[in-house]
Order: sequence, then C-alpha cells, then structure tokens
Amino acid sequence: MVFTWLNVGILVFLVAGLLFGAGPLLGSLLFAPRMSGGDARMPYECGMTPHGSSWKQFGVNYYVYALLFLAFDVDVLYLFPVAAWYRDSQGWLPFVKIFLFLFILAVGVVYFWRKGVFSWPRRIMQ
Amino acid sequence: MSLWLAGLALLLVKIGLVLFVVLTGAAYLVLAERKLLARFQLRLGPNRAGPLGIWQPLADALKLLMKEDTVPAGADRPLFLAAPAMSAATAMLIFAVVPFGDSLTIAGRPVPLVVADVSVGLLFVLALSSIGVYGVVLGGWASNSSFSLLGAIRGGAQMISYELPLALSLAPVVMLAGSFSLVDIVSAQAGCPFIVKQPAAFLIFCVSALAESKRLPFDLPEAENELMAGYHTEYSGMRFGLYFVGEYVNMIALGCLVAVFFLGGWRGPLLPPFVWLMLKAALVPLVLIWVRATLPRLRFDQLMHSSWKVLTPLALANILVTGGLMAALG
Amino acid sequence: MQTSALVLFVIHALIIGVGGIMAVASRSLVRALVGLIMTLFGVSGMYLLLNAPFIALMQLLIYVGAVVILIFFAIMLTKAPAGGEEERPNQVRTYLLALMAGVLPTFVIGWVVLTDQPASINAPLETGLKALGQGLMEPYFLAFELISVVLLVAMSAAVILAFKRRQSR
Repeated sequence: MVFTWLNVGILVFLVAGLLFGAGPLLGSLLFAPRMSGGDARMPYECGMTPHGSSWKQFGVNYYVYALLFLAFDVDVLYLFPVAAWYRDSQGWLPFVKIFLFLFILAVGVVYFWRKGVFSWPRRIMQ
Repeated sequence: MSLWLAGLALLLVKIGLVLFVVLTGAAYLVLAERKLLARFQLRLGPNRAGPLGIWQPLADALKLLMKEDTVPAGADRPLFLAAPAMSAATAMLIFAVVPFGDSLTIAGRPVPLVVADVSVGLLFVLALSSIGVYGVVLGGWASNSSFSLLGAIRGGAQMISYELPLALSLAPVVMLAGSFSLVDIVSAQAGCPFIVKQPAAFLIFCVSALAESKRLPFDLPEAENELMAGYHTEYSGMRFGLYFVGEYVNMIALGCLVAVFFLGGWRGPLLPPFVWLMLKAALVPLVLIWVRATLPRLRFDQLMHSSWKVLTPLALANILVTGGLMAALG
Repeated sequence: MQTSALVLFVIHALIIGVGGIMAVASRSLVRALVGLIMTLFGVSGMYLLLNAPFIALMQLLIYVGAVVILIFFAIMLTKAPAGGEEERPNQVRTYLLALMAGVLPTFVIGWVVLTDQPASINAPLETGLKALGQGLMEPYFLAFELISVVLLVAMSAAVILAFKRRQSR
C-alpha cells in the first residue's frame, strides 16, 4: 500500500465539506423556529393536496441517453491516456489510429442521429 | 513523525485558506449577481445593509439561519437531509487541484501553491463534476414532490449529456500539454495560452460548463416558471442555502478551470500570480450573470440536441484537427 | 507512512463494508443505490492506496458518474412496486449461499496473493499515463480499436431494443 497526500487530502476535504454542511445546519437547529401541525409538511403542489406519492414511472428516453453516455464515457477514458502520449509520438501512424477510433464513434453518432434517437418524441409512449 | 505532522498541518492550512477564499468569493458573487442583474433591469439592487450593500451576504446567511428547516411528508428523510451537503462539497473539492501560483519557499523548503498536485488532476475535476449530479438527483428524488422529481430527472439527463463534450473538449488540451496535471497544463501555457491554439475547444468547454452549472439558458432542472425551482422546491432555510452556496462555488470553480485550461492559469505580467488567477477566474461568473440577464431558457429537446448533435461531433472533429495539425507540424 | 496507509485502508474498508450492507439491506431501491455509491467510493480509495490514481478516477467517472445514473434511470423506468416479492424475508439457505459467494473469492484471491506475489506487492509502482497511452497505441493497438467497436455494438443494440418497443405500440 502506498500513502499519498492526495488520499488524505480528499478525506480531509470531505470531512471539511461535511463540517461546512453540518455547521450551518446546527445553527439553524438552534435559531430556526419549529412549527408543527397544519399542512406545513405537505409537498408543494400549487395549492392542491398532492395525489399519492410522486415516485412514478418515467419514459425510456432518459435511460437511452444514460446508456449512450456510459458507452461514450468509457471511450473517452481510453482516449485520454493516448492523448497524453500523443505529443511524444512520431509520424502519422498514431494519427491514423486515433482517426480510426474516433471514426467508429462518429459512425455511432451518425447512426443514432438517423435512427431518431436524438429527436425527443412529442409524446413518450410507455 | 514530525515530518508527517508538518505535512498534515500544511495540508490543513492550505485547505483552510482555500475554503476561506472560495466561500468569501461565493458570498460576494451572490451580491455581485444581484447588483448586476438589478443594473441590467434598471434597478438599484441591494443597498441597505451597509454602504453599497456590502453586508448583504451576511444578512442573507442570517436570514436563512432563522428560517424553519422543513422536511416534506413522505420524503426519504436521510437522503433529503444529506443531499444539499453533497452538492456543496463536490463543488468545493474541485479547488483541491487548482494551482494558485508557483511554489513558495518557506523555511528553505519549496511549498507548491496547490492543495494536491495530482498526476490525474484533470480526471479528478471531471469525476467531481459527474458526482455533482447526485446532489441534484438524490435531493430531487428524496423530496417526494412531482416538481422536484421532474427537476431531478432532467438534471441528471442534462448533466450527463454535457459531461461528454466537456471531457472531449479537454482532450486537445491534454494532447498539447502532454499531461493531466493542472500544474503541468499551466506550465505548458508559458508561451501562449491555449485559447489561442484551441479556440473551438474553449467555446465547447464554456458552453458545456455553462450547462453543467445549471444556469440560464440551461436551467431546465430548476426552471422556476414551470417546475417551481425543480429539485430544490421542497428545500427551505439553511439547506436551500447549501444548494445556493454550491451553485456559486461551482461558478467560481468553473472560472478557475477555464483560467487554468485555456487562459494560462496564474501566469501574467506585473501582478502577483494569485491576483491574476482570481482576475481570470472572475471572467466566467461575470459572463454567466450577463448571459442570465440576456438569454431565454432552452426547450428540453433543444437542450439535449445541442449537446448530442452539435457539441459532441464538433469536439470529436476538434480532436482530429488538433491531432492532424500536431502530426503535420511535428 | 505504513501506519497511515493502514489507517486509510481501514477507513476505506469500513466505507466499503457499510455501503455494501446498505446496498443489500435497504428496502428502498434508491437508498440501496446510495449504498452502492459509497462502496464504489471506498473501492476507488483503495485504488489510490495501490498507487493507481488513473484507475481510481476511472472507477469514479464510469461507475459513479455513469453506471449508477443509468441504474437510477432504470429504477425510474420500472417503478418497483412496494411490497413486491423482493421484500419477502429470505430463507436461511439464501443467506448461506450469499455468504459463500462472498467468502469464496476472498480465499481464491488470498491464495493467489500468498503463492504468487508480484514484485510490487509492498510498494506498488505508479504506471504513468503516457506509458499507458503508449501501450494502447503500440502493442495493444488492436484492443484499443476493438474497444470502440464493442462499445458501438453495445450502444446500437440498446438503441434498437428501446426503439423496437417504441414502434410496436
């Protein structure tokens, strides 16, 4: 195992963040008034009483975007080390290799575009 | 052991200083935004608390402290209580890797003016911006309000969509600097800042960063006219304050990142490095405020399109052009 | 420095453990998701201890930043009903099997580590990003190109599935 200040730094920063979050809340615990009764705790719904829980079903569109993002994200992360090395490379061969990699990605983007993935449907069907 | 204690003390001092500067900056950014927006709309803005309203941030904080901290009925209580802190903490963690200047020499030892010079600092920043989604998503979900949930889902989709051009636009910067460390990226810009070599990447980064900050014209997750503040509809008092602070700290962080990646970081003539960084970092928040006063909100489909159909292909093309030019020029 | 590394290890292990228990034991799916996020954070801290910051941040970017958001949207898509069959208490046999599934890999990995120790086991070396990039571009060039093909196939398949459903209604 290796000890790095980064690791401690992140932990300390997290603790600082938590303290920073907790401090004002402690203050509000001391100073803020506390009411009870009435409809103070009713979720906001433009003045009406909300109908059931708000945890409902959502369209598949968001899921598709998240999936595309996941795949592209992995791609980007493989691209990054190559980008860091690119300056030390010689000649056109690395460029051709990166071109191939990005070309396949671009084919994906064009395909999804033509398929209509990026056009938000007027009415999301379930 | 004494070395260890000295290291820890140094770390704590650095973190304390950074947090102090950033939080003060965020407090006065709120005031600056209110003043500027007022001017854009021919009003005066806050001017009662102290001369020119300089005590206004303090008054705001006190007011928020005195407000009741409600948890809506049927909410997921622990998540609802924790989410705002998540949002503020991720925004502040970005400053752990931002270099504030070259190294100082204290007691014969060089002390770098950065909390942690990480070899993968750029990835650290990207990771934080993707973790920032959770403050929005979990807070909105835990509220048990339809508006909040809509805001949360929209926020999640928007932030991941713009994460992609954000990362892709930084690939040419890495190619030019040959490193992920923010310190190295700044020193690679000793000759000329990257905005000259990478204007396209600069624009893509700025637009994506604007979308990541969830401000107008990309404020769909909290659109006040249709979603009543979206993911933080149900938040009140200091917890709302934490979301608010998170947003403004995030604006300053974006300013610092734009300065580090494209404007040469702390480099500049005459003035001390820290002042240069702050001057450059102030540019982005000011533009963000200006944009807020100028542009109307996008529609949700337009928002998703501009990421997937415009920015992402542009960023891919930009990587290829950069690679080609670098290979051609040697 | 070894002791501080050990302290960090224990902290991360605790985060992983608590997160794992939360992910398995929570009734609410989103709370289980938060447990999963905690576990992933702890694992990424472990990678930092192993001197692999790139892998640690990849873990955060891909798993916490993308996979968990995907799971969140999946939860929103499916609307898991409260009181479904997952909520019934499990049999003792299920718990035993789960425990075995958890403990067995520990023995396998422990055995491998004890019998075949890599040279860097006590002081892991950091592989530079440039070396990684060079590896991807020169000896493992084919794998690098195949990554993008594999991901393209995965994305297209997901899109085709999602859109078939949309058209069939």
